Amino acid sequence: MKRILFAITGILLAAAIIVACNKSLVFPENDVPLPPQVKQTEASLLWIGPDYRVAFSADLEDTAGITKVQVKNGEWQIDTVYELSGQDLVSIIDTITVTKDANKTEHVLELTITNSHGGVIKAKVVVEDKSDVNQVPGYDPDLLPPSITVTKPTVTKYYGIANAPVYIDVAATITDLEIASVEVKVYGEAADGQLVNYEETITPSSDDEKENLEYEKTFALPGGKAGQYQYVVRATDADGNKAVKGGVISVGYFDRLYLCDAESENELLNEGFDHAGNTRGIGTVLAMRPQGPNNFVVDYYYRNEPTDNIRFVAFIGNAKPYSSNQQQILFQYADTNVLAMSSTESGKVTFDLNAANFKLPVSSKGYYRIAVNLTDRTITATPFTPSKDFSNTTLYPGWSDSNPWPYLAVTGTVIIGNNGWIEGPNSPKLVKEADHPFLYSGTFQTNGNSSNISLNAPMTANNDAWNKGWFRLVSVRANMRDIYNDMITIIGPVGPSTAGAGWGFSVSNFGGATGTFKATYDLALERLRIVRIGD
Amino acid sequence: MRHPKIAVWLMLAVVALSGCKKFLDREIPTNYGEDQVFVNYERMSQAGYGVYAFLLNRFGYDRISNAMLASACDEADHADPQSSIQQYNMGTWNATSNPENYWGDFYQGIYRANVFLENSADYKNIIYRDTVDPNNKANYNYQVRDIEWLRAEVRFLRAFYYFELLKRFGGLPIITRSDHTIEELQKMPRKSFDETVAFIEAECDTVAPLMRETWVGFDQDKWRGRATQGAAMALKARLLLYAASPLHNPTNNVQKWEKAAKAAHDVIALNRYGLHNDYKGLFRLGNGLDGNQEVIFAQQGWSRNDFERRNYPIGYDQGGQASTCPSQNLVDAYEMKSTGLAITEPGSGYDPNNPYAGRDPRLTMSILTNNTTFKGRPVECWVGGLDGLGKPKATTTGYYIRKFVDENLNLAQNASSMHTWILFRYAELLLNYAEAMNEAYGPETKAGFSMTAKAAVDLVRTRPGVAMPILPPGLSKDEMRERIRNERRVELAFEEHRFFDVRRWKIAEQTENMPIMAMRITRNPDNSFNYTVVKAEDRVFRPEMYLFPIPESEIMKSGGVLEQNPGW
Repeated sequence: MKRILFAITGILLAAAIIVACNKSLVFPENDVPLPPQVKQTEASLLWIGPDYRVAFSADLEDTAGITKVQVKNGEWQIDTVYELSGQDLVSIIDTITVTKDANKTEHVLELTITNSHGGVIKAKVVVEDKSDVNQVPGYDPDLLPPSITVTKPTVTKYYGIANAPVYIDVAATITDLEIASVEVKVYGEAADGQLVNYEETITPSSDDEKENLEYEKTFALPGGKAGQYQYVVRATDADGNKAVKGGVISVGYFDRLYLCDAESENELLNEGFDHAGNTRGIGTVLAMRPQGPNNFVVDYYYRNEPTDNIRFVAFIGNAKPYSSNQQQILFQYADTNVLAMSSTESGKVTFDLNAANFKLPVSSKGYYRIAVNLTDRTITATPFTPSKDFSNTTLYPGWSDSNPWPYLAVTGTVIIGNNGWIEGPNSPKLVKEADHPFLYSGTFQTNGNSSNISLNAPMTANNDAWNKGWFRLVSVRANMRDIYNDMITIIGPVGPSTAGAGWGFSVSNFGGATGTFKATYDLALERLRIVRIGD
Repeated sequence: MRHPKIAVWLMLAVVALSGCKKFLDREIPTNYGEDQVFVNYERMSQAGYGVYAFLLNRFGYDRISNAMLASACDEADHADPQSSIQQYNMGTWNATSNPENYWGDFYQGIYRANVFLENSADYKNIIYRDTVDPNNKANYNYQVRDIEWLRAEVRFLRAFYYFELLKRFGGLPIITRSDHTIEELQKMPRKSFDETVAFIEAECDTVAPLMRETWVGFDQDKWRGRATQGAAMALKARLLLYAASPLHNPTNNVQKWEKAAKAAHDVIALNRYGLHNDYKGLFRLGNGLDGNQEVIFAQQGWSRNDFERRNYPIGYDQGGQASTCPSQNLVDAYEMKSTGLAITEPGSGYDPNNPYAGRDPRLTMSILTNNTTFKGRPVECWVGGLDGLGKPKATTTGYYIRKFVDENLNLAQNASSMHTWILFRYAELLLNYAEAMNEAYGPETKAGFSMTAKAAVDLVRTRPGVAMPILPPGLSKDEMRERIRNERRVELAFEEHRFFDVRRWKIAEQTENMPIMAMRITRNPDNSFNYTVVKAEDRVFRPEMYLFPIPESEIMKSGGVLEQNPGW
């Protein structure tokens, strides 16, 4: 009997559960919760006084009662939630301050409306841009800052070599509807820590000055040392708008430095000039590579001989040692921008050439990386071993470390004594210097015409004279540049006569008159140094 | 032909020592056993160069499902909605699905470094034993010296890989040996952020003096591309900048900024680096760019054209494969050239009807804007134009990327060119210095260094070919901070800095929740254009995203010893 009762009870329970389940699965015909309804929306971007605001309104309806409205916009970073108490009809009117658009922008507000049953709908409201006219009648703000036109300084980089003040002018024209004040400041610090700080504030006194103020004054900066300074003109108008103009003035900061090893002014004036390319690079002046402000380096072979005369030439901006066509040398041997190693202070360079010894701070010949710091006025020379690989038999035919070439032949049809394009029995030679392992020196004479000169590996070591051992332009002229992007001539090993640019260098065209040149070729650094020494 | 060599030996090294080792995995299938590798100079050095191989595809071009990391921050939108990069933007990435999950990759690199460092410790004897000709002392010396350098480089690379993990995940398990058992690895917890920083910093300090100043001009330039002393110092500077930044320095300990400033200045004081005279050309120098004074360290690349195929505008022959579309958000960051003012500032000179005129020159050097001449014709980004918004696989923002793009490739002929990725360059270093100096000492104080924060920023702004006005003097620290941040955004656009910068500055909740905006351009009958900014897509950033989640598999393997980052 118990078992029957349990069975009946179980059936009833099951039936009850089924009934209950069935009920939950049936949607009542007249009780489906409608989602919230958006009856009306509107949004405008308005310019109200100094502010930009988005004004929006929304009429919402939901018989289930609206509990929450969220308004979002990403670019304005609007995320506002209106908590409501379940009204059927809701009108939301609000304004939110936003940032001014730089561009014409299409903004959309995203509305998320939630009813008491958790029903959610989303709506998008496009914002109408009405911000081109201010909503406050007659509102005419001065939104623009004062205009500052700085007319001086026109020069912002000074050599400042002499130990005397560097005078700079600061001049500016300031205009506005109403200028409240103008502040002028010149300040900064020399490399040795000397501070500069000039400051003054001008308050316009007349109505004219309030609309147009002219300022000009001269300031003194420390000379004879490197320093960087700033000038500032700051103007404030009556509405609080501010403008600032200024710039940097440098003293003693150089953009280019060159090493010159002409043994005399005469050598400098007669240094090699590749007439065919209108280029230097085969003379006595080497461009040094900038390494940070006022630091320059160059790899150099130092002879350490009595005739050494090492000078450095410093330039600012685009000034350079040569005229733009490189035909004219634009500095003199003892110009104010020429410096050399100090004879009185170890490891220093000086612009006072009377206190210079024109050497390097080392006591033996060799290859050195020379570094000159024009802020500290220091010079260092660090030895290095050139990593030249002579194993390429096309470039260096017949060369061996134990048996290097005894000479390089100077070839070309303009070379007096040379028999045609390749080495002949009377070709002039640059002979290997006994004391300097990679230097080949000698003289040659041209017939005065400008044409195609090459250096050649000696025929004694090279049985394939046309196809090996040529030293000519390493590249087309446009691609041979120094560190300052100026065209130069570079003579290096190219292998066959047709390699590289397929051309040799020329020397100055003397219109038929002969020219005699002394030349040294550094095989390790690939530097050709030529000086004209006579007809 | 010199420069591809490095990429080639990188590849060879990968093959020689290919393996798959994540943090908690130990087995490594290789073509050579370790006992067969460290037997002579050649194999040993290839094992060392193999550590470089982990730079490949972890930086730069289209590395995340064909997308750039720029498309995972407010610099750009990736036009292909199927790319996994979109997970970052939709906020759907997590510890089991991270589009840029390099946890295992960089630990593989670290493991390789450890293997090399342990097994090459006796390098002098190994090379001596292998020197067949006893008279060949020069060769022996060369090889010994080379392995000494290489060991320092590998330690630098290991530190670099740790840094890459650190900036993503925070504090890390520090593993400096390769012979840990699985049990030991499983018990290895994360070090704190500061401890990890200290480890990387110490490694940089130790190895920098052991590395070469430059490989340019050495041994016929055949080793160009290897890491240098400057790279280790630049890594330290970047590391300390991250460590001083708000995300990791919530109490704003000024001493951290001071250390960061000094580390950056140490690189500046080398006087070895400078700014290249061609901003646009800088990114197209190809391998061998380490001879350029701006490049401190770069990932050596290979000849390719996939980047151009993806990023040439859609209307060009074989161009446009739905890739990196610069955002209006970024475009708006470029100031006006004549005034140096932001386009939103009164008096800036900005003309919304001619929005690209008179802007910072870096805008058009980095981004192709409408009507810019590219490959012989104007780019037509206008609706209905050849490259315009709305075409399949066309730009989604009204812009195409120009930085890094080789404009001269003929894709129809499958032409390609060298694509190198700069990892450290001097302009970034200057901006690192400026940021640290400003936070430590203020905008215009030298504090015994050679330049102020402002001077460093001005150097970048006035770089040749860009010549933006210098910053106005007298800025407050807060104002300077904003200017520096904007300068980084512009100067370093698309170079994988912004994604991490907004995190370390802890401003990602603002910047990365902003929608990506686009420029909808329509052309008028008189061929003038109307420009309207519209929303391209919403972005999602939540606070836990400041750090990456450690892969769930790693957490599980550790049995919970490895602690997950908060919120994941």
